[in-house]
This record gives sequence, structure tokens and C-alpha cells, in this order.
Amino acid sequence: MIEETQESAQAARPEDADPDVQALRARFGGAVLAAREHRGQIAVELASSALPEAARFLRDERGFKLLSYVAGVDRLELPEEHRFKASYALLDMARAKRLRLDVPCEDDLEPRLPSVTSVWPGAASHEAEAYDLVGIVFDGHPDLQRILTPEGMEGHPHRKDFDVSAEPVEFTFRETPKGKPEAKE
Amino acid sequence: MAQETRRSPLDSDLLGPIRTESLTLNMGPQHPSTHGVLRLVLEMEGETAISCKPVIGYLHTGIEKNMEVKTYNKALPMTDRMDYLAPLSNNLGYVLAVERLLGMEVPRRCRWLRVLLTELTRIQSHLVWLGTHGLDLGAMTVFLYCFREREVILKIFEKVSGVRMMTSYFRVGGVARKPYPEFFDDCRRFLSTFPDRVDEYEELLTDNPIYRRRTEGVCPISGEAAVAWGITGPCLRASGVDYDIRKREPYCGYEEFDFEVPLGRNGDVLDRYRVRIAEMRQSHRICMQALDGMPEGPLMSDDRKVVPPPKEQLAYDMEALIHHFKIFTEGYHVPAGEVYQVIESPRGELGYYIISDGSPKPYKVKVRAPSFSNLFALPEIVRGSLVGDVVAAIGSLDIVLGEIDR
Repeated sequence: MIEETQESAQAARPEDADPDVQALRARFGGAVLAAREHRGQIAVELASSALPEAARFLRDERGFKLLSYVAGVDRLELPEEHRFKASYALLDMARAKRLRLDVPCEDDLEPRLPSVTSVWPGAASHEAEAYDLVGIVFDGHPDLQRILTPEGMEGHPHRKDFDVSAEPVEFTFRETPKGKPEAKE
Repeated sequence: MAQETRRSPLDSDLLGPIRTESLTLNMGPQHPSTHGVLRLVLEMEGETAISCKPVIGYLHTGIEKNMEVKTYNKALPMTDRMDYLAPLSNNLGYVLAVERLLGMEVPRRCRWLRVLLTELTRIQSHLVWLGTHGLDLGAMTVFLYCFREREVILKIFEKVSGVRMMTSYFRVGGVARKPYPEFFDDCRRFLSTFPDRVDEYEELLTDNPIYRRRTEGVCPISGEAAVAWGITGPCLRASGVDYDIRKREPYCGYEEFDFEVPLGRNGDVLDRYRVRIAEMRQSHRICMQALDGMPEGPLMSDDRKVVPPPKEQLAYDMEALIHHFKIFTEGYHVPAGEVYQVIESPRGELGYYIISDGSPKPYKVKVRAPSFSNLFALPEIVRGSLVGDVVAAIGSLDIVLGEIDR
């Protein structure tokens, strides 16, 4: 009895009734790890192996032609299995419908994800930002370099364990040239 | 080839065939037409740009990271500093995102006041754009005209919030304080003359043959390419794509207002100009509706867990004092979850992606800045155009480096 009521409650969940979630589940099955609804917005958790194909599917067959952003997230302090994820916000302009894709990185030490720049060319700069700030490496990205922080910077500042207590400052010191009087009090 | 045929046989024996090399040209970060600290690395073939790489980061201040260590209220003033030409739009996006996380509604009067002020912000931001864009192309006069009107709006902002630019006027659950008594009269006085002023700007530019030749057919982008590159806002609509978040995903009571979405056809610099001019007129229309129909009633939500009680209550109400103390020391707990709240800022889709872990501080804030995506479509827009047109194209995108670098 209890199981039955739980099942019927699950079927009534708005995220399961969503046509895009249903289409993703029908096409990618187990790669759709979860679907969540919060405050009227739907997020789908997707396995990284299915990402490029799912991105192409969503763009070509579900109409999500615009990629709003790619955000790297460090979930170190959240009760999640994998530390890093990338969040992709998609928009279908014809239906005025938004969908978020959350793709966890399987490796916590060296987070990697396939790039979606071949699907949405505008993703390149957002992926570079996620690499720069959180340190997720996007395979297949045309030019993955730091874009916000200076060259030669170590670490990724939006990681939760990034040390913000101090910042190294480079001092340059020039000796007094020979023949010049020494500075005196 | 054409040059080789013009030479005498003797010359070509001596010099061999002409070899051309592409030239790498650095533009910025201090170039005045890059609107802040944008650096472009252009690869030139003669005077034609064959590729272009935007280099950013000179204004990176870590605002998003900084917000993670502040309570939701204290993080709000940082939002102004991102898009400093549209501070109230940034405030609005942020408070709407937090209100959505809280599952909170604000009174109708508050929504209308927010619409009125954000539309004034849009006018003000477009005026700065128009002035500087004119300046880039050598039309000096229009700059002074635009700043004349902008000053009036900034004066209103100063009187209503206390600050000209960094307003921080919208707060979670309402606004910082009641607008001053003559606020609506001041707005009405400004708006009564504004359409004539827009006519004035148009007289200076729209049919000006010099301006037309600098903009017509210059640096176009098709609607499909614009969507693929993530361009939003007036630049997208100039390419003929009808998507305005205010219309299609109404927020903050925009569904109650009557306005049109101006569209362009060719997606060139001239169309981006035309769309923004028409948007100023539509914003004026929305402002007039907001003034005429401003509903009466409370201005703030009365959720005492989030909105501080009125100051005079603290003198006689113990509970109010406790709430006041809690809000300003600990902050309020926001239920765990993630939202992505979008608004139509003067530059396009401005979004706040906030992750809450249930504590009084946001776990993660990601700002989807419209200028960021628009700027990185620039290589696509300027490919094959003259270096002078690159300046026109940057101006027509209306970027603000503050929100690109954050």
C-alpha cells in the first residue's frame, strides 16, 4: 500500500510530466540520472558520457537553440556524490521554455567533461570561464585557456578550498646604481 | 595578382612576386572606443580584419566569489557594480532570484514601482550607449544631448535611493524606502518632454548620410547565428528574432503592461541603433502606464523574517526589535535549492543562478551577463570588415566590461 501511494505521488511530480524530460528519458534511458523541479524550474541531471549527444538532441529535436550559460560548480560542502558539476541553462525560444542540465564530473581530482562547442559555438567562452574559475577541463574545446584571471595564476578561485586569506604580491627590487649617493636619513 | 601585372618585367625579376603577410594589431585595453578595458587582438589583411580575439579579465574583481561569504542582504550592493550603467536592472534580477528561492511574493505596488524604475534605467542605459556610440563614429553632438537627459534620470535616482549610480534600491521583499513625495511628479515632468528629445536624437543621426554610411550594412549577423552564439537583447532583436523576456516570460508584473517589441531586419549596426531608439520610446510608454496606474497599497512584503520592520516600530515593539536584530546579524535562512532567474536588462538576458544550501549566505552565485555572450560573438560579427567598422560594431553591441569580468 505504502509503495503504491509513493509511486502515484511520483507520477504526479511536475518534472516527470515534463515533455522534455520524458523525451530525454525515452532516448537516453539510464543516462538521465535524475530530474528535479524547484520553484517552477526543471533541472535534469545527466551522465557526462551522454552529454554531447544529448546536447545535439535537445538542440535539434527539442528546439533548445540558445545556451544561456555554462557554470562550473564546486559542491565540496554540499551532500553530493561528485564534487564538481557543470550546469547548462538552455532556452527554447519558440515555446519560451527553459531547462537546466546538470552534469556531474566523475573524477573529483581531475574533473573533465566533453565540450559542447560543436553544438553551441557560444559555449566556448563560458566553458573557458568554468575552466578558469573552477578547473573543469572541457575535452574538445578549441582554445581552453584562462580568460578572467591573469596568466600564470595558480589554482581556480571559485573552488571552495581556494585560499582567499592572502594573495601573493610580486615585489621588484632595484639596487642603487653604482656612483649614485646612498639614501640617508 | 593585379599588382604583379602592373610591374615591368625588370622589376619582377629583381623583386620576385609580392608576398603579403597578415598583421597582428593590438587594440586596447586603453583604446577609448573599447568602452572600458577590453582588448582585441585583430589579425589584419591590409585594412580588413580576418580574425579577432577578445581578451578580457582586466576588471575581474571576483564579485561572485565575494557574494558567497556575505548574507543575502549584504550581497545585494555588489550587484550594482557589475553592470554599472543599469544598476537597478541588476538589483532586480538578484532580488527576484532570492524571492523565488524564498517562494515570496511582493505587493503589486512594489512590482509597479520596480517596473517604473527599471524602465527609467533602460532609458538611461540606452542614452549612454547612444551618446558613446555616436562619439565613436564622430558624431560629437549627440553625446551631450544624451547626457543632458541622463542627468535628469540620475538626479531622480539620487533622490529616491540616495545614490546616483550604485542605487541598491530594490531589496528582497520590497524596496529600500518609500519614494520621496515628489517622485512621481518628477518622473512625469521628465517623461513629458522625453519623446521630443528622442526625436531630436533621431534628427541628428537617423537620416544623417555620414552616420548612415558608417552603419548601414556594416557588420551584420543573421538571426540564426545570433541565437547560436547566445546573443540576447536588442542585438538579437535587431537580427529579426522576436524574443523579449518581458513579453515571453513575464516577471515582476510586466504582463500587466502594454508595449511592443521593436524588431530589426538586417542585424547590422543601423538596425541595432534603430531597435534601441524604438525601445526607448516603448520604455517611455511603459513608464507612463506605470505612473498612470500606480496601485495604492503596501510597498513592502510584511514577511518579518526577511523584511526589516519599520524603524519607528522598534521603539515600542519587542518582537520587531528581535526581528531587526536577527535580520541584520544572522540574516535569513533561504531554503536549499537552485534557481536561475532571468530578466531583460538593457543589454539582454541577465540571469542569476543561485544555489542555496539552506544557510543565510548563498552557496554559489553565477551571473549570466548579457554582455559576456554578446562580446564573444564579436569575432563572428566583424570577420571580413574594415578596422574602422570594428569600432562601430563594438559600439553597437553595447558592452559593459564590469559585468563581463565581474
